[in-house]
Amino acid sequence: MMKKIIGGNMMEYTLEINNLSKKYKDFILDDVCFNLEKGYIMGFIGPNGAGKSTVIRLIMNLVKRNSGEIKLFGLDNLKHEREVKQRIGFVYDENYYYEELTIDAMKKIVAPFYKEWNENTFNKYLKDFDLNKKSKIKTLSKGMKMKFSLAMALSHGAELIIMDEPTAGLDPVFRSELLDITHFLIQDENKSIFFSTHITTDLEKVADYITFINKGKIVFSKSKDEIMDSYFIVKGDKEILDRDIKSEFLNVRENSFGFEALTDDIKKVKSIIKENIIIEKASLEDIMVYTVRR
Amino acid sequence: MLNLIIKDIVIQKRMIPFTLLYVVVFIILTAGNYNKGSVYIIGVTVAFMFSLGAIQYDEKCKADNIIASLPLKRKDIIISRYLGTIFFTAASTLFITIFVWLINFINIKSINISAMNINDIKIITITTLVMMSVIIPFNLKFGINKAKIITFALYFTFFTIALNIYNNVNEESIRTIYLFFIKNGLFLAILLFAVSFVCSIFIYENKDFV
Repeated sequence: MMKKIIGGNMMEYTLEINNLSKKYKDFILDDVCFNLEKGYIMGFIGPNGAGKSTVIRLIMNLVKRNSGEIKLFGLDNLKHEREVKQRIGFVYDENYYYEELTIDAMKKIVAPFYKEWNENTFNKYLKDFDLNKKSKIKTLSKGMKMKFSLAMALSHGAELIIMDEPTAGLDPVFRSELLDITHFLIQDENKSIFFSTHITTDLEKVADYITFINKGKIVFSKSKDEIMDSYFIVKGDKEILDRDIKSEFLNVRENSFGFEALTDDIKKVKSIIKENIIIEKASLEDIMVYTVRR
Repeated sequence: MLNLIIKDIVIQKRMIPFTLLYVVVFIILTAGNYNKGSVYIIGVTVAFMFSLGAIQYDEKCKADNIIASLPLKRKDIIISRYLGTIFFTAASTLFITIFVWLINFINIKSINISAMNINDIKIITITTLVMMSVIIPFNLKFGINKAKIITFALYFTFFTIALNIYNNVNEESIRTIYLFFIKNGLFLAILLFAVSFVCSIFIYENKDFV
């Protein structure tokens, strides 16, 4: 495990991404950097097409990077591919398991690859998730397929759970269940969770850190509390806005009644605008929407 | 690696009864006309169907994503593809040898087919290895849909040539080709198979899964 001394504390990183780049014909993932500490949940947010899945696929070596470095548990993800993947549980945004097979047959294919596969844990999850071993994967609903995927990911003692849009297209009940599971998992301080989503309210409940990606670039990667404390929505009359004031905001929306703007420096805004304004804490959704529409 | 080959058998196990039936019907219907030709064609076809079927099935279901996410190196996946081809060739040859032996043992008069010998096994193996040597890297590089044309073309070329050779094996020129393959074919096929393996590793190592 990679350890870094920051401010006198030992930090252990489960996931480190440095200067990661990947070029496609119509999309560039550019110089991505962020770290996830051991024992924490990181939410990975961004609009569709921002590069979330590409980063996850690069971590899992499903696509080849052009440059940069990915370290898992302090080890390069390519040089130590077998070893690091033993310690990762993955859940993807759609079902890639063989639809024609039963849950049990699929498990029998996957289980032998993991040294730490625990049959009891798997059976416990099947029971908790109300999944029948004999059901064919193609007969499962989307939510059930996701639960099956999750059971597979959680049954070999993985220290890092990577999930790509696990809540997409699923009802609030399932989403809430999934969040409860992540909360339960993280009680074990050796585990870390990294999951992408565009449903930001999910993250406000469970994430410790948020990494925001837009158009292939990281906008920020910070602790949730830091983000929630630093971003604000400012509302006021249109007359207040002039070019100088506008430039102080990250983004401004205007309508016939007034303006709404996002800032990450509320002190400065307060010092500039003396008129009546309403200041509200920005939600992750506000931050995402305002940043993307810039 | 063994786990991956077992996986290729499990995902295709539904095909096994159909294939057995196909083999039996094909040999019974064609043995009178082609004798060894039908055995050769069916031997190669079965080995080819299962070896390629595993690749096609994984790509069609996008299960490549799962396999490549398991604690494996990409090289391991390619090794299993090539070992799988050898396994399916051996299994196909073994099954047909037993089946032909059984026909002779029971002595069904209407099916006139002589028992398999080492040369028959050699020719089935050579042909399968050569075909798969071309087909595996093409399928890995271009995907199963784009590689379909080359796969079909190769399979039907093989069909035509094989039938021609078997129907005219007593002609001197064809006999020379046949004997050349019996003598050197296996070595050349293994060589080609090894070159193909290296190419496939290179292709797969640089592949982006979608």
